[in-house]
Amino acid sequence: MVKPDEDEHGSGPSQKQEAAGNSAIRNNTVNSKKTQSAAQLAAKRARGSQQQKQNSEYIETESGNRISRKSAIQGSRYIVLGGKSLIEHNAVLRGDLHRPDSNGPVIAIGRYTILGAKCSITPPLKSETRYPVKIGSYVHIGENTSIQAASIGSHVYIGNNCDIGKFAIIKEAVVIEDNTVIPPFTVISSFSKVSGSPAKLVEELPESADDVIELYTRRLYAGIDVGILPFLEAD
Amino acid sequence: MSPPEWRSKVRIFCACQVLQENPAPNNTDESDAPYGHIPSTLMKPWALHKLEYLYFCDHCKSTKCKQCVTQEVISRFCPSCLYEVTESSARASSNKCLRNCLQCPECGSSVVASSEGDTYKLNCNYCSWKNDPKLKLNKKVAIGLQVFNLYKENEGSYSRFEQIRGSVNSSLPKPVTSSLTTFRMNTNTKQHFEPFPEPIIRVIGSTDAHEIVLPKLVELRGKTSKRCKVCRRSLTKPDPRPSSIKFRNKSLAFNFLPSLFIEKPKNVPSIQNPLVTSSITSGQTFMLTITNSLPSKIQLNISTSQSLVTLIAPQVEIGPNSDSWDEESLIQAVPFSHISRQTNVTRRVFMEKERPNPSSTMSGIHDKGPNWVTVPIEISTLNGNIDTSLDIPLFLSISYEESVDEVEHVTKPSSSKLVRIGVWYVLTIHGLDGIIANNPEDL
Repeated sequence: MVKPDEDEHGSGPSQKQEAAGNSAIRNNTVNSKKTQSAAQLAAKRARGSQQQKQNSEYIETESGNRISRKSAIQGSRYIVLGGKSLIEHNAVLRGDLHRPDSNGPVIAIGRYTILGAKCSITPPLKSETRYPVKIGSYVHIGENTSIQAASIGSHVYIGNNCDIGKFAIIKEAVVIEDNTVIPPFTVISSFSKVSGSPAKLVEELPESADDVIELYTRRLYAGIDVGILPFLEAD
Repeated sequence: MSPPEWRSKVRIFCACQVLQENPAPNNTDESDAPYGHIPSTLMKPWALHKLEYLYFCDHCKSTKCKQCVTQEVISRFCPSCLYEVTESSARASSNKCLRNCLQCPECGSSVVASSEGDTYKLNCNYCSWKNDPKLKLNKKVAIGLQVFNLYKENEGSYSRFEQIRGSVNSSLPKPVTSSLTTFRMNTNTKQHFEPFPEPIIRVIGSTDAHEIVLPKLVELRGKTSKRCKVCRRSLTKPDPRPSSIKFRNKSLAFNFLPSLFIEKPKNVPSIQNPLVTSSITSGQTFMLTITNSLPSKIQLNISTSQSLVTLIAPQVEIGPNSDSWDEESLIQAVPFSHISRQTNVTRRVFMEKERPNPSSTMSGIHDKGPNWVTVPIEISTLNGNIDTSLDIPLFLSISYEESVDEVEHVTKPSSSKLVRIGVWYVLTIHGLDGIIANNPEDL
């Protein structure tokens, strides 16, 4: 029996950032969210000129978030992006599913977080109340993956077609293979590689895991062809 | 028929098993001794490791794999509730979490306990498993402890010997058991029996032989520090707290050794020259990118024991790796063929990039950047005799200047010494026949 709120301390998106930096990031993103519509207009104007076709598919905010024009972000007032994140086509962020009595963010995402095509992030529901989702920095979320977790730590790789059950807690430095189902209320501890339905620990990751995943997400954001994550390569 | 998918992988050879075979290399053989020959275990799969899985002992200047480090448990914790357990209580609890963490006996997912009257109801989060209503759990004691005690009470009548005998050889005569102590022997566990009893108990004190399936207890996990077996120096030491991923020190091969990447040739059937007769070997040029991970400039000597492979530039110099991981440095640290999505930064880096001058092209280097070089390697093969995969052992002799100013008693603070290390890499290319194969319709 694990309550989802039991170990909120020490996890979450801002663990690696200083407290001051965190508030700055939050302000920054709130601003960037406000200016998003302005950026959208500017980008639309520029589209006719020398903008390359590929680039115009993404909006880049002031804090460096690259957001696909085809992504479905709902309730952006309740979503905080830490900056330098990449949101691909048809990614769904349900910021509209917030608590009516609270103006706080319902989806908080750290830096260098890659949301793959057609993935969805939905705040989990318990007794008719939605609870916030916290996603750390350097997180890769694969295509078609649906997320209803309570928190996802930093340095996490989630593959394609995964299902992260509601109120699941994924700690830092975790690799989740493609097609994995993580049941609700599950805790995945650090340096785990899990696979299968239901998810089972298949390997304890080496000490390099956090650095390797950080480099992987930073390269993906920069537009570098990263290939397959070394921990997922077949032997 | 479509050609098989092209795949390549890079493995690094850990020489620990070779050194154990010849423990004392003669001093007369000088420094080349361990590297003067091709190690007998070079192509053994258990001696080859991914770069990310290796440690590097800075004192021995050699790679360390999991087999040649000593591990020491720093802390034990439950992976489910992340509670740290002391060594003595972990031993007393058979390395199980005795708090409220339980696993479903059917599927292994976590079990949620909910209150029902004066007891708890257990439900699996994933499958439809529920606890037997005859299992009464006291609300005042941790559920894990109660389940553990039930297992312990059960253990006496269900001896470990019988369990081993049942798992190892079913042809042995059946253990003499009374009708009351019939325990179901799970045939699935024959392959891997657990030293912990089966999750089935007899209801204590009841007259009929009723079986109850108990939930499984969560196994504890440990954090371990690693030491070099040769010099006993610490390679990694984690922070003992369960939720922390920090390390006091981390000496990983990932931060020392160059990383290799082999690229498929762009123009697929190129060297299939119609003028070349079939008896002459034909080949294909692949691009090998070597990236330096050290903060200092390195000199590389590359050699191979694979006769089908020709190295065009066996001696290269690679610039230092910058420690920063910002967007611009990362883009500068890879060849342009690796850029899959154009951004303003990639375009700026492309514009500002130094083009290789003709003299470097003369040296055989195809392209270079601040901390990487791309060199062509030619894989030749006799026509009609192409294996689907090819292993290419490459010996990299790496030399670099290492500053020794951290040693306090050195008189000159800026002094440095030349370090030479040699590492075997094994590149494996799959789907080679799809690239080199003669495409009859193209010719």
